[in-house]
Amino acid sequence: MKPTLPLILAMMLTAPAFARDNTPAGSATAGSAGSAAVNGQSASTLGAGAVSNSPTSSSQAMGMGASAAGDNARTRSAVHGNNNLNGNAMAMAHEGGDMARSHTVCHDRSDSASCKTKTMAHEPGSQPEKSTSEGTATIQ
Amino acid sequence: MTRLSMAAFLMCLAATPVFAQASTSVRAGNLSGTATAGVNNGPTDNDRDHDQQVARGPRTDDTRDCDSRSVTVHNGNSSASASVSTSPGGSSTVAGGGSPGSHTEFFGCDAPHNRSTR
Repeated sequence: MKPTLPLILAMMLTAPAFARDNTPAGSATAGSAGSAAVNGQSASTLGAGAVSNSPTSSSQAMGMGASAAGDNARTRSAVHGNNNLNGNAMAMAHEGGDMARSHTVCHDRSDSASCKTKTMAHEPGSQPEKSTSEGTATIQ
Repeated sequence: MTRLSMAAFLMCLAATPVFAQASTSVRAGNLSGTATAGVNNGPTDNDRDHDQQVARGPRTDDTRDCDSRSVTVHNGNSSASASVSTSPGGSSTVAGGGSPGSHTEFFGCDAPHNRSTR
């Protein structure tokens, strides 16, 4: 039985670590971005989120950005929350019926980070052009 | 140590969690963003260069036709960070946040000699 004790100690030191509340240890980052443009109106948004868990601590960070150019350009960005972060970024520019719009939403959870961006460009007489991009990472 | 114990020990070593660094960079139009998570040994030369490039003024909200702006978020133990920056032109906003203990720093466009934190 002599090898048992060192073995147990070794297992305690090296076993896969799980942070508080059974959160898996590791790191995850995710981001998404998008742009839309039509007839001089352009809008771009992006978001990037990071989650890092160690056996003793957990940390999250998120950045959001929005940019628009053209007539009637509007942008808005925000990050809310403490342990679960939620981010929003919106950009829009329009003139008459021409409109470019982009919207990004990001979430940082205890074991994952995800971002999703939707864009739309529209001009009169045409169907709106839409796109979606998404990034997700989960700590295994 | 028996052969079985040695094998178990080696398996434990193999199962040791690796806190590798994960990083994501995204770009759209005149926006760029980066998120990094995992063991961080402090700012790199690239981080410092980027910081110098974007450190231009305090936090502001929506502003038109100004210089670039950015936000950086560093957690207290530097294990998670995110940054977003814009280049000049048009209307732009940035926002950042982190878990408790994080440090968020904004760089705006109206007062080129100040930086702000919250």
